Amino acid sequence: MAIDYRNECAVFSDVVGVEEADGLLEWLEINPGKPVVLEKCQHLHTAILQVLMMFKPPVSVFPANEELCNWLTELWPQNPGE
Amino acid sequence: MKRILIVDDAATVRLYHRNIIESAGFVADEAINGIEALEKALSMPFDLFLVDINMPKLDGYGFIKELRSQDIAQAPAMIVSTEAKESDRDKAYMAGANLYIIKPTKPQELLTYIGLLLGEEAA
Amino acid sequence: MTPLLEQFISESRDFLPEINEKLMRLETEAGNAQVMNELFRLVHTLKGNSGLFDFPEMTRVLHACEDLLDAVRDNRASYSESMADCLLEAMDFSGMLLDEIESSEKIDSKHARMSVELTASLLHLIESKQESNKAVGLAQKNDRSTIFKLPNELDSDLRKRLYCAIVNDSLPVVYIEYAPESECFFKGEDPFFQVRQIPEIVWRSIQVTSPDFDIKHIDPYQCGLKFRILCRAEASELQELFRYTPEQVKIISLTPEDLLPFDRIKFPEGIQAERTDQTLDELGEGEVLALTEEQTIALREILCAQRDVLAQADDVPWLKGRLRSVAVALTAIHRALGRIDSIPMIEAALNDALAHETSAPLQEWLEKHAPETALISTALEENADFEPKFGRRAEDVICGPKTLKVDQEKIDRLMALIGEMVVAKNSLPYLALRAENQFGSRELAREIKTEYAVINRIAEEMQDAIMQVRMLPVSFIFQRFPRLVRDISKRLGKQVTLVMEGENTEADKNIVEALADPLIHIIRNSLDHGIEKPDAREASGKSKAGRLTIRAGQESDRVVIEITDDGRGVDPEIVKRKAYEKGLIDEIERERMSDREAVNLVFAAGFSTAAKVSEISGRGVGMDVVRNAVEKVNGTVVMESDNGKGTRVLLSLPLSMAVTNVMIIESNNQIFGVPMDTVVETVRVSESAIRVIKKRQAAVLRGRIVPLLSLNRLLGIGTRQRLDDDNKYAALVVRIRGEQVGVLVDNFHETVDIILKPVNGILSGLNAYAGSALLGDGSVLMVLNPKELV
Repeated sequence: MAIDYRNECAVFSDVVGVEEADGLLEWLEINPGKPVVLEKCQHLHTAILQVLMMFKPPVSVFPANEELCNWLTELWPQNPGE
Repeated sequence: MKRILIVDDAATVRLYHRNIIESAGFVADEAINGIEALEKALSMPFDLFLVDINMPKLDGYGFIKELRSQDIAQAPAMIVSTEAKESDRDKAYMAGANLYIIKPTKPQELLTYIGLLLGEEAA
Repeated sequence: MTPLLEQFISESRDFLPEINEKLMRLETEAGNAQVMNELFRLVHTLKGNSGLFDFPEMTRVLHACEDLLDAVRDNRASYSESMADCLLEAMDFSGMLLDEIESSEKIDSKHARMSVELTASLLHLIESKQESNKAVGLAQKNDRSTIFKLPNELDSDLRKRLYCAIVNDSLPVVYIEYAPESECFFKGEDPFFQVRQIPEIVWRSIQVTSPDFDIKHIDPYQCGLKFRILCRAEASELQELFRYTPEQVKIISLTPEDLLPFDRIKFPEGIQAERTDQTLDELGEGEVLALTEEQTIALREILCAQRDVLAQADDVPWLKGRLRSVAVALTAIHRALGRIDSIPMIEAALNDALAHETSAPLQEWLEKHAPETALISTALEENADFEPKFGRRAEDVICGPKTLKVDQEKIDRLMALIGEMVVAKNSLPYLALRAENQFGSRELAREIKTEYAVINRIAEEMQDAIMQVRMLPVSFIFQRFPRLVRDISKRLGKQVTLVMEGENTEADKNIVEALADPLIHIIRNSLDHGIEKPDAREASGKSKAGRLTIRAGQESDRVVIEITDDGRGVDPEIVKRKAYEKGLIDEIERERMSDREAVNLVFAAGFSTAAKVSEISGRGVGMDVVRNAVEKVNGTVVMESDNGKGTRVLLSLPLSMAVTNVMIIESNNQIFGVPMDTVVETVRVSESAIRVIKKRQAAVLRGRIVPLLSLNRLLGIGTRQRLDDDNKYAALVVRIRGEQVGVLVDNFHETVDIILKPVNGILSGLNAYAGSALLGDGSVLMVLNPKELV
């Protein structure tokens, strides 16, 4: 599984495919405000991206992949506290 | 040796399928329309049919229907079509096809179906 | 090039002319369902074939053609001339792409735009409203002329920076707006992945476009995003990147002006989703989306399919056959999974089903075992590198098709080889001669001659067989004519009925190919100068539509083509006057000339009857081009005209030109060849029989005065021709454009079959020679070209 749903966060890794969209949507509905950890994520399918854009969960760690990070930081205004 | 009959009016598609089939060590034979396919099916046994829908003289539905009603062959028939409409799929199953896939298919994908439908041991 | 690609090209080349022919046939027989269905099938197959390769530009256009034809079939659109134009253009485009594929094995992405435009115009013809929105969408995209505004969020600094980049460093800046269609995930597309491939991004924005995206109504499988990007890559690179979805993307190379003004300051604050509150359409459960292990998917699909088959109505005559095939399929997959224990159960269920003539028992069994198969699938998932073990390579008989398509080069090679053999075989008589003269063995000489006769016969048969292979029906070029006639007559505002006969007549490929240009020229000429406009025709009591007949046939060893029109014909008086004015004939000739001869003056160089230069027949390039082309392959062309009623052009060409029969002659101690088809006879003329008429030598032969010319003089050799022992000259009578001329030579020798090779290099400028050939004894024979010589 490319998304590991833990108690306090969802941890993304590698390539998150379109088939994870339902699961993510469900988790975000049940766990509003809980952060996502994107550090190890290499790619998100567009379907995953739009679900994240809808719910705007806090991103606790942005992807290490610089290019992907550039895209996502545009969407998530950087938290000054971080 | 498992024999597969490719039924398609397009020579390019026949060659494409033949290459895939032979790469896996099966024997491929060809027919350019439903009538020729019936003639071949009557003259020798096949383990699988790979059938196009739109063909002159006798189309894919008609061919499979004949195959089933005359009990010429019980081997699975796989329709490989460009039509993605639900109604086409139903028509194919009504006629007695056993699988409906949409082309173009990747060689590995096609082989997976073929392998399973021929009962080639997977493990 | 892979054999598959070769097959694709060759099959497509067969299809395109057939499609063209049917498209035009439908113009006159709009309601012909059979033609329509056949046409649809051809286009459909062609599209399907192209889909096997990476040629989206071609597939897209053909797909639109198919959609359009489908609409016509369903009466959602009606077939018209403009529709035919559009479809023909699409076929031309496909043909052009094929050429490109053939030469480079790929399609340049620069054709994407043309492809999109063609697609748009094709889809536009489908009148149905629900379809047309697609077309309109397509038509507007990618168009630089449509006014667009750069996103407001672009801050002034960035604008300024990019402005400088373009102006000072002449770096390209390209704006990309990519709005994926909402169903795109189902086609396996991942737009975000796509945009991540864009290089040198300087600004980016992702927006939610779908007006009804909110947390409550989100459908994750419906793409509702729009991407806007500014980057510093070349537009062509980006077109390549988006070549599969050009209709969803706008790629615009920016000019500095586009980046003005700088004054507005509005920082792009992340990219806010623009939310509105309509609802998304509910989408069915997307089983297509399950992108797990290949075999698992295949397995599930096959199981689903069997379930669907069993769910079909039971009351068909072929039910039993269908049930059996399902059982065979189920057995196969269980065997593939190693679940042999299930096989007897399937068999039992099948027997039950057959006995009661219903699918139910099999259905029940399948339902009961569905959970089990689901377990199997997870087991498969764990075993990720599972791969079916198939049998060894096929060693069995492979049934090939009955006809072979052979590369032309291979045939040419065969032809060259047989040519060499014909030549090699010719060395045997020399050998026989040596055996007798040099070694004194008459017996050996005779035996060699006998062997020679055998080899000669086989060689001739072989040669004949290969000639047969090279034979091509003239329909190969005729098939272009309906389109040609249609387009030209339309442009000229004339009505023409084209009748073609004898398309199956065959001739050597080279001959058939050589026919194309002269024929097109003659047809153009007929349409332009021959057939009158409808009102003019009516005025002279003819039917409105002119008639152009092209008839091919074989007469002994020649192929004869006749082009007849019922137009205004050629006026011999006008031709004569023109020819006289242009200095092509003198006063005496003008007086003496028959009408028939006069008409054929149109073939003289520098003659054009058209009052003014026309677009169709070209700029005064007269019919002499036709004559030259035809004569190059040893053909003849004659025109007959009935003034006011029509014109007939008769072409006659040899069936083959690969092997030439020549007579060897001797002059000034050299030997030369003369093509036998120009030789009328060989005679001996005594010196006393030669008369001088108007300073030219001539002799009376068989009651006709034949001008005599000395070969030595023609070749610029200073020596006189030799007389034989009886004080006679050897005269070779040849026919040149219908007239007989005697060429004086020193001696005649035997005739031989040779393979004529064109003269290359510096000598190629010498028209006196038709070519050269290798003789059996290894020497080179120069073959004369009497037409140019005299």
